[in-house]
Amino acid sequence: MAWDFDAFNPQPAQRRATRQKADTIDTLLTNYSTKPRRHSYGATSCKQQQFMSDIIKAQASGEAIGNPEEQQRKLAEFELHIGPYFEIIRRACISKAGNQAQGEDLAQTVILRAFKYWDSYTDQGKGPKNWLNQIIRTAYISSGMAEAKHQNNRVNIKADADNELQDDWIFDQADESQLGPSAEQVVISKMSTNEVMDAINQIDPIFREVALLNLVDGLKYKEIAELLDIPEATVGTRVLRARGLLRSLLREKAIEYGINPDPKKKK
Amino acid sequence: MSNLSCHEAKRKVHEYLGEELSDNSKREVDEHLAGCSRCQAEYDLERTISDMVISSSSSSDLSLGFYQRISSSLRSELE
Repeated sequence: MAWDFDAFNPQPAQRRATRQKADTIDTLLTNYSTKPRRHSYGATSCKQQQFMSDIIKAQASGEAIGNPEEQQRKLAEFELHIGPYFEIIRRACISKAGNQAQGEDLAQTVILRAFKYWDSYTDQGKGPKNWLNQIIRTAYISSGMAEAKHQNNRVNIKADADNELQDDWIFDQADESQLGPSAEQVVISKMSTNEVMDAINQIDPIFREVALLNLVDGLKYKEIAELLDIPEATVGTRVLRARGLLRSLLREKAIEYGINPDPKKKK
Repeated sequence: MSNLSCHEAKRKVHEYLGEELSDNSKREVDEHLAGCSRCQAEYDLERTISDMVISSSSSSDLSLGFYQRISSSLRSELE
């Protein structure tokens, strides 16, 4: 026999549905757990993104019950389809802008613009990545950042650094360690996630975000190249450079935090 | 052991971890690593760093403010 819940619950069905929706969001906020993963393009990639995605799904299902307004439905649908790309958009924009604040402003412009034109989007079986790439490109150009970047020597020098010589520099940096890689691994693996995050955040965003798009979001070099409008080889070099810098920074941090990377040397 | 030099193998380790290598290149790197303990240790170290980056990024709340900002901006578009 099926239970008649309404017979036991004095609340009207719709109020109960709204409360269930709120409970679901509340549960997500409270019980959200960390799930490190590597994903393919378009899938969620980290805690914040999963957080958004889960809330979006909860809202979409809730609004189907409680809120019939067309605009609300459009927003729920947009967030459900485009929400999983928010982190990728954010990273791409930070990498393009070269700094966190401007990059996040650009990402906000991109997302709001995508929402504005959501009605004109048609999925032709390939997902929204090309459509989003175009919006990012247009927003980047109209923001004036593209022109500023062109005139900015600092960024140009870094762009010029994407070459074979720099690849060798990265390897030289790694080889500078007096440790063997096994000992270095022991030292680095003792570090906490906060210490690792500190090191990651010290890397220039131009390199860092490209590496994270590859490593954390699981984008292929080709996909990152299309997203950022740069050659595939440049993507490879930026990933390599970010990894080389991270390794040097982790080694420095290990010394800073009192983990002596070379026991034979006195600190 | 494959024909790869240690320098080439170290270069390819990064592409290996980024899942960018073809099956043939992957096999070459695997063969090199099996016969070279120094490069194998390099690979293990890079693997450890990758795992730590993924794990740290997944547990970071640094961009939560960005998502809250986006969520309220989108909602204010409806008003």
